[in-house]
Parts: sequence; C-alpha cells; structure tokens
Amino acid sequence: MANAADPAPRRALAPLETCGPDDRFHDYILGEYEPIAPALGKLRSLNLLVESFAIAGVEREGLALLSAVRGGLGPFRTIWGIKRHHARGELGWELYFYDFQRAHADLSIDSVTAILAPHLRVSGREPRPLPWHMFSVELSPAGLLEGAPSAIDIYIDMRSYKCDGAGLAFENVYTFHDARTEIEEVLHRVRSCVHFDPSRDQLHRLMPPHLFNCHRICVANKRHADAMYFSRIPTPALARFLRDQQWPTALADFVRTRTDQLGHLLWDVGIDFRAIEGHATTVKSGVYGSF
Amino acid sequence: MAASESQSLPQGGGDVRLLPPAPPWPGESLMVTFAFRCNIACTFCMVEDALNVLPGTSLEAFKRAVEDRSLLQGVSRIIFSGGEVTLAKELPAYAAFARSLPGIRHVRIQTNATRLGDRRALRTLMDAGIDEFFVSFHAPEAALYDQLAQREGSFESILAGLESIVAEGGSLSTNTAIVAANHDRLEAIVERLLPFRPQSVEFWNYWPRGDEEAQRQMSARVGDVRPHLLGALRLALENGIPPVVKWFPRCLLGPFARYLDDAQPKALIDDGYWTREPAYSCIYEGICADAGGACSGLSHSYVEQHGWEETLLSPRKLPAGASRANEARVETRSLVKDAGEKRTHAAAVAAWLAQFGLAPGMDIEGFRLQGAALGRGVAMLALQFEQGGERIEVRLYPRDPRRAVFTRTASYDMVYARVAPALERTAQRLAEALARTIAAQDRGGRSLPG
Repeated sequence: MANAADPAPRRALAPLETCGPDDRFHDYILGEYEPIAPALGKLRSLNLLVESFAIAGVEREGLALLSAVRGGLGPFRTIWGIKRHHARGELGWELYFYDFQRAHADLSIDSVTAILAPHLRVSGREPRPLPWHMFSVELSPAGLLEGAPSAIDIYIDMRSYKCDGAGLAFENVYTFHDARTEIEEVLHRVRSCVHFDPSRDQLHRLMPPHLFNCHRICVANKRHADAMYFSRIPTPALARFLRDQQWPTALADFVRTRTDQLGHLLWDVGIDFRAIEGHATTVKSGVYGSF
Repeated sequence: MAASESQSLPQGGGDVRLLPPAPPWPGESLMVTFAFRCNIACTFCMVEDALNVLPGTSLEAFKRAVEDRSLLQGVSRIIFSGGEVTLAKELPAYAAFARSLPGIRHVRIQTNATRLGDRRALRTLMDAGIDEFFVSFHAPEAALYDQLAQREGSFESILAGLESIVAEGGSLSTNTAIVAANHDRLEAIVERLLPFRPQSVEFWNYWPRGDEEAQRQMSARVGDVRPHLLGALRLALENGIPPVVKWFPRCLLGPFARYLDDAQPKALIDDGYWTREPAYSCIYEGICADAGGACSGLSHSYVEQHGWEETLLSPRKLPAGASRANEARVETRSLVKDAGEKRTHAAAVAAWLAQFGLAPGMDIEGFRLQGAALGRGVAMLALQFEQGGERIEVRLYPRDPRRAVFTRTASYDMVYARVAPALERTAQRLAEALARTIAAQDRGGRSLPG
C-alpha cells in the first residue's frame, strides 16, 4: 500500500488535468457547488475517471471519447460515473447528460449519439420525443474496444427506462431526500426495500457515518436490486468508500494519497444491494464526478 | 446550592430529588496540557497516540500564551492535564504561576491520583496552589480497575490518593469513562465513591479519539448502558452529589437529561491533537430539537461498532410549523432535481449558526449580525455585522496552523476584514466576542456550512 504522504504511482499516461479559474463543479445531478477549498491548480475529478480507464486497459479509447464529448458539448456539462461490478470485479462507466428545462438545442439523444459515434455504438434511440430530463450512456471495455452496442437509459420524472433499439423497459424508480431533514423518509424507503431486511440487516452497513454526512440521499428500487446514493461527500469519505467497497487498490490509492490535491472536490457515490443468503449485499458501487 | 432549585424527579426517577447541575466548569476554565506520559495504560485512553509523542505546553509557552489577556477573559480556573501531570516535577511551578494570574480562583489537575497517596507530595502540590482534583475512577474494585488500567495495584493506589485528597481538604470530583467492560458497574462505582464525598461525579461515554473505526471495540451499547447510568445518576442525586454526563444521547436520559453537558474547556494543546478528534452524528439530527448544542449524538466510531440505533433513539420533534432557533425554512423538495443552491446554502448557514447559538439579528458587542455569506471558490464563511452604518465582517476559515489569523477556535481560523483605523479596536473586540461564543461549543472537528 502506498504511503499517504507520497502520491501513489499512476497507471494513466495522460497528464493530470488541473483546475483553472473558470472551472465549474457539479454533483451527479448537475447541481453546481462551490469547491470546499481553493481549487486553482488542484486536480479535476476527471483524473479519477481517466485513471480508471487506464486500470481497465482502455485509456486511449476512453480519452478519445471524453475529448469528443467535450468538443461536442463544451466543458462542465457532463457527469461521469465509474461502476464496480462486485461479482466480476470489473469496472464499467456511464456518462449522464442533463437538460432539466429541455432548453439546450445541442443536447439531444440523437446529437449525443452522433458525437459518440466514432468511438461508441449507441443502440438505443428515442421512439418518440419523451419528456426526459436526463439520459445516460453506458460504457464497457467491450463497448470501447470492440464496438459492442451500448444501451441508453432515459430518466423521466422519478423513473428510468432502459432503451435498446426503440424498445423501452422500466428500470428504476428513485427519490431524493435531504439527508437530515428528511431522514424519516429515507428510513421508510430503506425499510421498504425488498432487499433490506430490518430484522437482519444493519443500516450503517449501507449508510456509514462518512456517507450519511452528505448533501442528499437517493433511494432507488431497480429490477434486480435496491440502491442508495449519497451526494457531495468529501474526498476522505470517498477514499474510505473505495476501500470499503474493495475497489482496485491502484484507484483507491490514487485518491487516498492525493487528498490534498483533491480536497476541494465533493463526490457522489452509490451502492446497489441485493439480498443474498438473507443479507443485503453490495453488488455494484459507483463514483460520480463531472467534466 | 439552593434547595428551592431542587424538584422532584418525574416518571422514571422515583422519588429522588433533582439537584441543579454542577457548575459548568468548562466555560470558566483554561486547560493547559503537558506531561504526555502516564504510569497506567487505560485501554480506552483518549490520548494514547499522544503519549511520549506530543511535547506538551512548556511553562514558558504557558506564560507567553497568557500574555494575551483575552485568553483569560472569563476564566477563573486553570486545569492541568496530560498525560498524568503528577509525573512532572515542574507541576508545582505551573500551579504557582497559574495562581499568580489575575482572576484565577481555582487550579485543578486531572489525574489518576495514583501518586497522591503520598501525603507530602500532595501537600506540595496544594501548597503550590492546586485545590481541585478531578480524578479518573473507572471501576469499583481492583480486579476490573487493574484490568482497565493494565497495571496491577492501580486501584489500591488510587484509593490511597482519594483518601489523601479528602484528608488534606482538597476538592474532589471524579470522572468515569463508560466502556463495555464497566458499563454495568456504574452504580457500584458511585457507591464506592460515596465515602469520599465528591463535589460531582462525571460519566463520560467512551470518547473514541484515535479509534475512528472502532478497532478497540470499546463502546458499550447505549441501550445496555442506560439502566446502569440512570441508576448511577439516581444514586448520586440521592446522596446530594450533582452528576454530569457527556457524549450520551440526550433522548435516553429521560428526567436526567439536564445533567448532559458535552462542553470541554478551551485548551492549550498541540494542533495535531485535534486531527483525530472523534466525529459525532445522530441519524435524527436534522429533525431533533436537541441536536447540535444540546446533544452530540453518537460517535462515528460507535456507529461503526453498533449502528445508528435508529429504533432506540427518539428525536424530540418540534411542534408543526416551528423550527429550531434561526433555522431557515426548508422548501418542499423536488423528487427529480435539486431544489437549488440558494436554498440549501441558506439552510446550511442557518443550521451552522444555530449550533453556536448565533442568529441573524442578534447583537454582539453592540453590532447586529446582519448576514452571512459563503466564500466563492474558497472555504470561508463571512459574518457581516452592522451598527449605525458601520460595517464589520468577520471571516472564518477551516483551522490551519500555518495561516496567520487574528484568533482561533478549535475548528476555525478567524480574521476580520480591513476596517478604518478608528474601528480597528471595535473590530477586534467583536471578533474576540464572536470567537468566545463559538469556542463555547466548538471542541474541534467542526466544518463550515454547505
């Protein structure tokens, strides 16, 4: 394990990106926040995404995709997510595109599909104009390296649908809550999750203190799992999360040994859990940032 | 204490009469820390990582520090703590200097008392000015005490120390750390202390400094502690001894909640000490009227070990439509998107102010707290004061020992924005008063809002 005082060696070949005077900072619903420490010259959250590409062996392909998105939409409009699939120990990614007011002419499923086309084959398409406020595109090593098709998820009101071809399949229902003033709603939502048994499972295993001290909590019910998301946690809490969720050591050490350089940032994390042998067990975890 | 202030204990307390809480000594005390070494090795020690590491406050550094008389403002007691300060041969010199300071009426040591059975040594300390002895007392019998202190014979030495203190006329109060090993012996501890007639008995629920992830497995479940703690408090009260409880959920104390006081005195201690101060939260802190100043909740270490206790704890809810002092109204949330930065920042700032008893409109040094603004691109909170057209802004930053500041609390660096020369002294007084207000609740580890 790398020494905390000594930045862990990187896997990525690309130079680290640092914050400029015009950088903007967003949580995973594109809510803008003030950095919690001076940001100029410190690391952008994107570096963690690039490091994860490198660890998965797709740095070149991943960087090309990011470059296309930034070139097509401009900076600080897109949310990235890194997922760890616990059963397989594999990393995956997702990009999220928000337009709450549907006010941006350049942001549509078709336009993003076109932007990604040289690098990724997006299989989903909107069957008719839908009142989404966000859609996302999943990325996998196979999608980036071998051109495997990527579905899109369309988020409407408090639900999401998987869109493959022109077909839509219900995927997810979710609610956001203030982590403090709406804790009773959070408890109600968690206790009513089919994959959480209040008589056997301990809430703090899903919601430890370093995640509870967040901005908002999201509880989601998916087809094959339930999920909790925690927004705007500080970098030390992210480091702990990555350790607890057994993320690749190189990625966890990237954060743990650079808390000063990342200390201005807030992060969002989530876990999908499923009842396995009677206990809520994390099957997927995710980290989110913006670029 | 005035008998008229006593009142009968309501349900759960039987017929014992409540006493007024012991005088709140932390607010009128300055703690000076040195002698970071010890002759016992308590398994739950809160300074274990500092022992033989921190250099402590030298007598010269103590003297230099109090040249700034604002440090002594409102202070009538100097407390020496470490480590075990009776191991330091310089202790009498510290005590004598403390006695020489203006306004100081008491000099206290926090001690395990193992060396105070030596009457001559004790007399030397008392002759130097020490009149109060705050003695750690963690078990009612030798087997458990020596196990907790990891030194055979500790218990007998401590009892000898207690006897000496009483015989020499010292003022005795005690402190019991509540941990898994002694949580069911709390009544017996009070019973054992009664012959010494302590001025107060304090029960400090395990304060897991340096044990952030509960590796010691030291905490007892608060539900298991509760009947024994209430029994111990009752026994103390029945014998006319006011108790104090620290770091225990207020909602579990029933009629004894008035004895919960988590305050600690301001301290001269190495900044490094605070980096491992335990964090506290309660799952109900956003909806409980007692959260923050009146109740710390549970340590994160406790939650790691035992969970949130969400079915055991019960928030004291405010009546519908009411809010905690100075808490901004929280607007109806959106299910699909954040309700907006302005609202969340306002609520966060209001909640932050409330935890220190601050509120917009209140007067400090004749100036009205007019507003608060979070820094853009920098971790800073600016508090804006106004009086008759004169404006003063006091800025708070996360504590950073490298930063040049006007004054500090345990968690914050404070400066005041540039003012006209004529207003300079006023700005200083205002910043000092604000620092005192915040410091009264700030034991370190606090953050800025938002």
